[in-house]
Amino acid sequence: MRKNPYLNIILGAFLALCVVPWTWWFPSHIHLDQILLPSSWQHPFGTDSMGRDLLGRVHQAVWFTVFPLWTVALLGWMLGIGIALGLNSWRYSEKILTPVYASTSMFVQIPTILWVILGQMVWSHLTTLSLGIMFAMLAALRSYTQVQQFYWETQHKAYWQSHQLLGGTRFDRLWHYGICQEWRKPLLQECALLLIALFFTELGLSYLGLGIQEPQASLGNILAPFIPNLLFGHDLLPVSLIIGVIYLLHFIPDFILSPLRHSGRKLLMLGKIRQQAVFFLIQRHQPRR
Amino acid sequence: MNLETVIASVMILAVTFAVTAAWAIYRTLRKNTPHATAYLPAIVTIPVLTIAIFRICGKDIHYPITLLTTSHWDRITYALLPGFVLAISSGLLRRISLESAHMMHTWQTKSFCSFFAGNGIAAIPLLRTLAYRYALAKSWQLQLPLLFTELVIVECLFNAPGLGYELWQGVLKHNFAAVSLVLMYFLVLYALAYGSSFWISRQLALKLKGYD
Repeated sequence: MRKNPYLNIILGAFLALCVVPWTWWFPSHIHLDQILLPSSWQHPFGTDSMGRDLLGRVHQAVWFTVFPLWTVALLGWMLGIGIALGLNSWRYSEKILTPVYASTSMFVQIPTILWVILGQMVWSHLTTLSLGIMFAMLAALRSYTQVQQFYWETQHKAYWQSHQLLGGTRFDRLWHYGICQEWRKPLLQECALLLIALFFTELGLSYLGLGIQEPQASLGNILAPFIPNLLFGHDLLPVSLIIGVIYLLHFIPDFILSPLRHSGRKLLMLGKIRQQAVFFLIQRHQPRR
Repeated sequence: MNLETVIASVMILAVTFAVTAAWAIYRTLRKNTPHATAYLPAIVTIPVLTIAIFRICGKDIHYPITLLTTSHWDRITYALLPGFVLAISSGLLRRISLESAHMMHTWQTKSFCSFFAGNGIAAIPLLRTLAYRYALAKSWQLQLPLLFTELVIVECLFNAPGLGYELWQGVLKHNFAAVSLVLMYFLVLYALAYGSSFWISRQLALKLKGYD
């Protein structure tokens, strides 16, 4: 992502366009006398089957569905990492780690569609909030299992064990060696992949009538009435514009998370300062010969 | 619901597996790998493919309503595009790219590779066969929950008379008896796919354990 400057410029411009409150100029109210209008200066993306401005609807979908879902999933992801750090740093956690990991990895393997069907049964009508709760839970479970797996793979490495012998705490190792250094890149990659996957899932489900539904705006339910007419050559412009928005949106998690993936100098600096402080304290408390 | 629906889903999954295997081999054989790999939702790829193929070949890529009465060959040809779309939209291709690159990088730093390089023997061709198999098995295992979610979406968009389509119809009609029956088949298929990928990746991990 960082190697491609043109894509970065396009995505930066797209994000700047997303920030513009388009609904102020193009409110998405129902106007039954303006059904399925082609694109014009009054309606740049055209209007839908209820006469609502499509640009306003797309803006609503991005701001009130996609970004909140991503934020909630990201929070869930961080919560999962926090739980993994807390559980592994806790002195008495050895006995419960294996059963907790086994049960979480089992839940992680359940396909998202089954969660959504379960959500439909519980809530009967999915909203951004209920879908967000499910996505956050999934993200938390996924990040927890990931960190746990990483910890079990790397805890036997020589520099981890030498840090332990020098009196460093387990939390220090997990945070400075794991999260800030060795696991940072794969964790961020995984997080970006998960955010994109959740976005695609939401799109598909709302298109099929299982996810977020009218009157709430979602890119899937905005696109749904236009797709059946495509073979006849109708509505090509609004569909291609919405598809363009979806295409650009799917780069955003990578675009936002990739700087963190490549430059963790501040985190590394903090880690090194802390390490030196630990060494200094150890040397100070060593008995003099 | 009958056996034909299970066969339709299995065929789409088989095509997906073939596409991902081909991609894994290509990724490990190619030296300069492309930076980004396609990862697009089915809701984007299917309309684009529909219009492009209809305009160029004059052929509708959606499943015909009378598919259940047609030959096996027709079923296979109709499963090609859904399988291909599923491989892209489930993130399998992207995951394979990540895993194979990671695998090659990790194994090239091992001491036996340095020993081989010191003696003028190229270790990369030896690693490639292991790398693509391992990347394929691991990616399949990791992406399986998303793959089965996208299977439902792809089948619905293509009108494929598979398990995903039946599940969608059942949920929309609130027919919980049908939903539970389809879910049972769905979970059996999922368990088979997960079990086989888990077993293969475990075997490969055991095989690689000896190398250092």
